Amino acid sequence: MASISRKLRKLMTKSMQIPADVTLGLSRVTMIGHVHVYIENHRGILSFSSDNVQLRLSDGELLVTGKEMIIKAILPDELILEGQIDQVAHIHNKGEK
Amino acid sequence: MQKTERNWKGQVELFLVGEQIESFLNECIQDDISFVNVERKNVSHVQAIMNIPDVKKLRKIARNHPIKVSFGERKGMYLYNKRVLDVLDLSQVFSCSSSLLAFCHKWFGGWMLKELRRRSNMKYVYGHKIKFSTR
Repeated sequence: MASISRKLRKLMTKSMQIPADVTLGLSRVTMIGHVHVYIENHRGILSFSSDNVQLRLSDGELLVTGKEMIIKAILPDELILEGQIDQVAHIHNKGEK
Repeated sequence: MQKTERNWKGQVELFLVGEQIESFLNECIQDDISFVNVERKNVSHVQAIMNIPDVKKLRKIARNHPIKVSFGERKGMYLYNKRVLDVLDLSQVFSCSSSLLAFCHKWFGGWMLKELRRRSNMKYVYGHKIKFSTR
């Protein structure tokens, strides 16, 4: 049943050109230079230090590496990272097609 | 806007010491507690800033976690408001605010009517009703 609704939502996204973060609940990552990263629709923090931040997303994980990073603000759906950002990597779930 | 709101509600510095700080933060976030300037000092020590009204909720969650929570400096308008309200009686606050409101209404309202008369070249402007001439 869940897969049917997911397929329907995917179809709706394609046909009606609605952003995927709205219909599928996917994460939205916005970077401002190498100073700020805004992450929306996250599912929580996995690990956190000044050099790397690992977050859980609806479709995998997000790994942000850098230097002197701090979490500027953390809200239920939103996270703002500040510092010298070197790399942002998205790790997919293994079981996902 | 969020910064002003946070300042109005009041903020407190928070020190978290222990293991599994990430899971504790996740649980807090799920309970609508927001944090600002979350900084890891070392492996088992995290510093953050949070809103004062959320402290009760945080204490409840902290009971179920092997974590030590301590609070530091407090700041924001909340503390000043509380201090002022502690000193003043509620009836005094009400009488002061109502007299201030009456004063503002008299002087500012009068000035507004004068301006309206001047700008519109209307002879008859009474209070909030504007009387137009029929000619």
